[in-house]
Amino acid sequence: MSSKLEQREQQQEQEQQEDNGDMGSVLTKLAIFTAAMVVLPIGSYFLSRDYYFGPKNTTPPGIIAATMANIVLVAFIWVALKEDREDAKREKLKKKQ
Amino acid sequence: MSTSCPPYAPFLGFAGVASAVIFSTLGAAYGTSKAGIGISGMGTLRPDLIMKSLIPVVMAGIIAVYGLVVSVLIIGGLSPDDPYSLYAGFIHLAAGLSCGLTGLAAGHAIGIVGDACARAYMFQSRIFVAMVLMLIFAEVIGLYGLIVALILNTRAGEGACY
Repeated sequence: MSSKLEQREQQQEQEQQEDNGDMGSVLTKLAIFTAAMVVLPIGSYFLSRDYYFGPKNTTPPGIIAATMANIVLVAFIWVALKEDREDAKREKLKKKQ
Repeated sequence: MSTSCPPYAPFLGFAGVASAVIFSTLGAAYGTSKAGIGISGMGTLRPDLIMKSLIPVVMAGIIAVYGLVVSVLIIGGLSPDDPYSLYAGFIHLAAGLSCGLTGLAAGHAIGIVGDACARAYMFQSRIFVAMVLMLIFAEVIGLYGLIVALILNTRAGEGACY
């Protein structure tokens, strides 16, 4: 009986370690996407306005900024779906074991 | 001073700048917080679904980016050296208000949809596609305001001083 309890405790500790190990990757993703959302739209607006479209023509740089923000969104959705698929694969492997 | 370039005209331009960023961030904050309530409630029972449920939060952030882009756009057209017509002031105010208030509406929609769909996603995984579709349509509401602001802003240089 005690060995079963010990086994369960070990399993719970392992799962906790896995969850805490994921914290690093979650924070990395958060940092990357926050930086991308802050820098890419406004940066592309100013770069395209100053170096490509001329100082007074502001509509195309505005469109580019909005497009970059949506590209960051699509990248986030893609990363979330990829992570979901990896988690599903891992669960299948665990069940087979 | 001239009648078409009065000294109080820049007030309207700056009011446009302020309203673009203020109202769109109000909408984005409401969207983030309301969706966050649902996500944190769902996350206690199904932590594996959290990353996919964060999509409403990212979309609410984009609404704030729209407001930021429009206000930066309008700021680029304001200068103390060039004469600033009342026409340009009204255009900038209209651009700021249209982007800001549509952003407020879009953020409101994203928040409520994100909250309800995060809670429903816990029980039914096919809600995900419906959630993304609803969020895209809510986001497009804010995009319409951005488009109108962009089109308005191109005509701000047409005002002349008499």
